[in-house]
Amino acid sequence: MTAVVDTGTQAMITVPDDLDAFQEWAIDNGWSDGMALIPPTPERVERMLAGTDFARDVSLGPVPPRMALATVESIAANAVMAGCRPSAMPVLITATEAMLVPEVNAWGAQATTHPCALMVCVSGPVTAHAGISGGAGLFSASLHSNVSIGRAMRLIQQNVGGAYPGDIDRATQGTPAKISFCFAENEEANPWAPYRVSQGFDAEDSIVTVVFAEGPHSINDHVSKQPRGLALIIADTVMSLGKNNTYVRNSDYMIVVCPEHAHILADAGWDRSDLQEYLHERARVPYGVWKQGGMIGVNPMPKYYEAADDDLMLRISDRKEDVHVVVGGGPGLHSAFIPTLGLTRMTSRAVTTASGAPARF
Amino acid sequence: VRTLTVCTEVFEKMAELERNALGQPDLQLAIIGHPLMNRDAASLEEAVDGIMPLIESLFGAGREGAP
Repeated sequence: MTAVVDTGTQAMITVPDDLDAFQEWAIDNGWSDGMALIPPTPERVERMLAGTDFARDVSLGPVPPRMALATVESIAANAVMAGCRPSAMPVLITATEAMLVPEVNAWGAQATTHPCALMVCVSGPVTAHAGISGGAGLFSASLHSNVSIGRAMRLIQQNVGGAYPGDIDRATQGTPAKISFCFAENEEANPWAPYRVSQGFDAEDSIVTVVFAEGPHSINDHVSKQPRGLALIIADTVMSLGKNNTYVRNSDYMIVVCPEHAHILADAGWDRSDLQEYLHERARVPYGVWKQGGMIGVNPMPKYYEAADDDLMLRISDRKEDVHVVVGGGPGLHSAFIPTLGLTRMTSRAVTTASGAPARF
Repeated sequence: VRTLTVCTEVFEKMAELERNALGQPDLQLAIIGHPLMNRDAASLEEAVDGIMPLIESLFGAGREGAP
């Protein structure tokens, strides 16, 4: 069988025709993410390309550290291998574009010892087009578009960027989120303005937001009926010492608020910005505890730390805008905190057509 | 401009990949043992001593343009 591969040069190579033999070939040649792949034959790649109006040779740029070009064709080839539908292409192209923004720091993230994965959060009409779920179990297995799109992005990082675990990807332990980490905003259950509007986009736009992040950490509160208790539990979950956001200044993080938690806040008159402001003010770590170990002092610190006494509470965020709030999930009372690599920035890009116009779905 | 990249051994392959990808296959790499964190001063000095010959050969006095 012939497959479209070497994603940097678009060379065609011949691989085993037998599906089982192809899996072994993919494992031996470092293409595999550990699960079975669909061979990216020219026919399959062609069908995948039908999901976008971008020409196949359009490049989104070099993916570090290997610096092979992420072309629309190479994105499609990895999408085929991941089992995506063609409707995933607009999200995959936009996610790749966003991943390559320098502030996202793919350079560092692709090789770091930190357990970060590319988080892909999608907001807007493209979620229905691509079938990405923002509802129950949005971070879970079995949701085809969530899993396959996240998987395709990981394959792009590995097969185009060269980040193979234990080789170029030097993650000490890694994270299951590296296998796949894609979800949508639950707009139907969102009591606030859509996330994309909070980021300055139009409601009719679709956006893809990426950052290199840890997997989600549960925020369980089945008790609080008012913002006072709930917001404190969210803040306390953010206030751990071992995450990178604690010591890397100018970093951001995400709270995925489940709909029931969001409605507790909204019913009490809280908007998204109120939760952002609360967390910016309340999520702090005590200097007296932090100074006993950990990463304090590894990065440049604000000057006033020199005058810190043990009781001084140090902020996690530098601005309330560093706290990103998205509503997601189904029934129940579990929200999620998504810490990041720190040396990365939450970056959103609008889904567009090949002409650059905002895509409408 | 003479340039040297210092990295620990576990990042050597990545450094090689990057220098080739960026069109600088002749960029000098100085490789030291891993890990670097938590080393005491003496151990760090030992690591530096190990790469000093390479640094001196690249930047040392007597080399054209050396400071």
